[in-house]
Amino acid sequence: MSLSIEITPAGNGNQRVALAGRLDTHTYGDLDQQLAPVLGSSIQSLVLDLAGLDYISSAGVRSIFKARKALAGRGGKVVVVNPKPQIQKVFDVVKAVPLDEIFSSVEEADRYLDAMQKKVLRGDDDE
Amino acid sequence: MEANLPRAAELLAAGRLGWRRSLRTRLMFWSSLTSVVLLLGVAAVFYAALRGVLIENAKTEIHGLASQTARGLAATLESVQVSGQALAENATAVGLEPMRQRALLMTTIRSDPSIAGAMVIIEPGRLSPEDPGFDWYIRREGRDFVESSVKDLGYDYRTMPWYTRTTGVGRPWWGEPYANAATGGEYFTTFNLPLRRAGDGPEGAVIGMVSVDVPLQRLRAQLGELPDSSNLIPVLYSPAHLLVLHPDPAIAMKKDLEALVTTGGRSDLAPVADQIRRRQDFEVRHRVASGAGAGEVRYTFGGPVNATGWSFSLSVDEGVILQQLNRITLWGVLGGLLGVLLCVAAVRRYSGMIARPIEDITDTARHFADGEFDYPLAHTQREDEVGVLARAFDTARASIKRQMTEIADMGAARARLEGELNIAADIQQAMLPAGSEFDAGEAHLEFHGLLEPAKVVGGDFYNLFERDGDSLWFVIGDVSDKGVPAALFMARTMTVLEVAAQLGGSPGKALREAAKHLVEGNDTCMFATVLCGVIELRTGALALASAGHEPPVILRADGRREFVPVPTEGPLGVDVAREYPAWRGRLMPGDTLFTYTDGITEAFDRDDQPFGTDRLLATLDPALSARAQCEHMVSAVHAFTNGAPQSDDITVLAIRYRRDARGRERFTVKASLQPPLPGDAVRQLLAQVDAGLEGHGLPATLMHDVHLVVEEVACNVIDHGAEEGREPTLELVATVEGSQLSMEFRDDGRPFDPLSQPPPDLYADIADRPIGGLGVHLIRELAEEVAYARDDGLNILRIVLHIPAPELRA
Repeated sequence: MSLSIEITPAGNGNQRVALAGRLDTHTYGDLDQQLAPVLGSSIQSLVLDLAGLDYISSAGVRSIFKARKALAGRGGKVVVVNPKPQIQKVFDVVKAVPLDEIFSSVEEADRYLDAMQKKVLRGDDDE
Repeated sequence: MEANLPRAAELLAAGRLGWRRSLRTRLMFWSSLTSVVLLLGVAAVFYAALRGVLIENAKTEIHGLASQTARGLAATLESVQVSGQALAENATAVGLEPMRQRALLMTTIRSDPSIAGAMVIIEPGRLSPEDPGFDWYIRREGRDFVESSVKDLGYDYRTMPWYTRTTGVGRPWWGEPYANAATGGEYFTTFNLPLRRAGDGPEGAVIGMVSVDVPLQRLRAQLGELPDSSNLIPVLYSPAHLLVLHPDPAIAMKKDLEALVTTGGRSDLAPVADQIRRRQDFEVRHRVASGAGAGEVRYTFGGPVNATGWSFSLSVDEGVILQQLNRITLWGVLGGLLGVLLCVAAVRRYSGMIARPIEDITDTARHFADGEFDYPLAHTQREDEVGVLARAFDTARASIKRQMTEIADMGAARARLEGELNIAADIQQAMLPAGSEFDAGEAHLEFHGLLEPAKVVGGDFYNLFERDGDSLWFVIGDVSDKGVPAALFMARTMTVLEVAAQLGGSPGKALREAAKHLVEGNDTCMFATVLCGVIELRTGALALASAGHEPPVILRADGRREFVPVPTEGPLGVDVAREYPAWRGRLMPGDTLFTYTDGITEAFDRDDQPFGTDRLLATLDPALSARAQCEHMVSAVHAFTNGAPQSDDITVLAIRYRRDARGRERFTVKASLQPPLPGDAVRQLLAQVDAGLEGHGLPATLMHDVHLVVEEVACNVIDHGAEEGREPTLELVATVEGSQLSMEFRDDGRPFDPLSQPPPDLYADIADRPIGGLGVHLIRELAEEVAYARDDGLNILRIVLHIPAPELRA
């Protein structure tokens, strides 16, 4: 079992990446590699759809951190969608992603990001 | 006095007072007493004045009488003296011619009815040397006269004391009264005069004597002119102070004044005797010392009867003088008392008349007192004070009736409110879950909560709900303030928290969601401190987040107890914190998580001492079930406050984690990595572990945790080996026994204790946050036990995982 990475085309500044399988010490390199061009692009936010992810270790969490750091540098965000309970548990333990940036559906995440974007555009981001 | 009458009548009419206490009685008593005192006072003044006047008048009268009587006596005696002197002068002039001498005697007797007898004695040889002398005595006896020679009387006159005295002294004198055969038994007193030759002066030689006899009867007749009153005691004293005339026969002619004073027990007469001796007029007030009339006060007036040598006194009894006055006064006082009685009767009757309407009103008042406010009230139309009273009473009654109606309405409203409040309290209590137990395989979570509101409804709350069948969420909170507002806010907070918890995620997330909702529209600025937690049933893993709430206590099975340092943010309702960070830990079998509100720690006793955290810790007992723990704590608080009023809602919530000992066959799995390591070394290691554990029915969640632990440990070992430029050897022995899976990792890398790493800062901003250090943190969180040792050149890391019970629902 290994990691499958599905990167759908970016839209509206949001890049959606669906992960499935195991994100561990052996596979995080693949993810880093595939995300690099995405993060290097002008996207504002990364939506990680984890519906298919069965396992994540600290190595995988580090990859997500890296992505968050990269986007945080330009005010972007990494939001997580649909983590399985065991993934959520790991996230909780290490605080991989803020709780309010974990959503149960892609649409929910999109709405959240749209709202964020509007706020940024209005320039009154007070959070 | 009149103002008191209605009151007296009212009290009398009240009928519950003893007559002694009745104002009416007292009114009568005091008015009577006043009248009597007044009466007696006036009587006393009049009496004193009248007494003075009466006594003065009586004294004047008696004095007058005494003087008048004395004058009468003096007239009688002096006329006798004149007759005697005339007889004496004529007797010497007549010489020794017997017939003329006799005629002279007769004339003397006849000329003065007071004179009962007369005598002349001329000694022989006095007028001329040869004369035979002459003596003759004539005495009146009825209408006739008895006459004889003195010698024929049977004695020699020259030896008689009266003769020797008269001739010896040579002055006229009154003899003491006497009675003998010659006087016919009658008392006589005799005036004796010496005889001198005509032409001789008073110093001439005495040649004989004449005497005239006066019966005492004549003198007594003078006294007969006194008013016939036994009160008056006239006394005639002879020149020798013999009491010649006295109403008491025991005294008259028997006592002389000196004897009476010295031996007769009449010392009170001493001044009288003294004055009589001095021959002066006197007025003496004396109290009879003894004898008849002892103790009487007498006034005695008297004095000499001119120069005759006789004295007279007149006594009167003061009591007699005052007798009439006393009698009149007595009658006057009796009459006055009768008047007082009539007055009292009138007061009684009049007070009764005035009291009757008051009694009517009082009767009504008694019915009022018994609650009969519709009892008829009379006299409201009167125009006097009673009418004013009755109308005031009527007004007060109307006011009371109105107020009673209002009070009844208010009472009904209050009862309705209380009823509603009680229903609200029931609803509130029903919102709180009852004690219960959650089971997940061999893991059990006992849960019990107790809430005692300070008022009927309160602001404390707790709640819990199971989620996904493998975790238990719970909240405990305390709304600011108490009572209905707090209860309403509490209901809202509970609902919001439940919804927020259902969203999933962590307690911190739930608090943040709830905070967002509660801030909205919270114009009253109510707020609630909340502790939110979630316990993973199978593992006992515990996450807690706090919004300003008191830190909970973990009571370990072995009795250790400590407050949990949950990071905390402000209470819900005021502001929304950026994050409510979670505290993570683990409940081991037998541990109890004890949460509470400040109603426990801030329960004050009568000395205003709080229960406090030390008592809280000391009260916890690891042997108790969750329910018993709660009850024990609450009763300890009650015992501490000892009846002091409860200041705040008291809420406790205890969660006790238990796990059944499970018999699982012990078995061991070994895996190892040897250099040269393959590219997928961790995968290979995991594959060995999976192969060994497979088929033993271990739950998938455990396998996930095993993968994580093995991967993190293996990566660490490999990474550190790589730093030294060589590949390490790693051996893993996994042992399953009971409900535990213990894994022992041994590697020959350089000494390294992963547990000595500082925990990562999970809350740092992502831009500043280091990416590494998460592996060890994960291991610590997942494992029940983690221990490192360095032994025989090997790093030995021992990690124990709990094997949850099989998922029955899965």
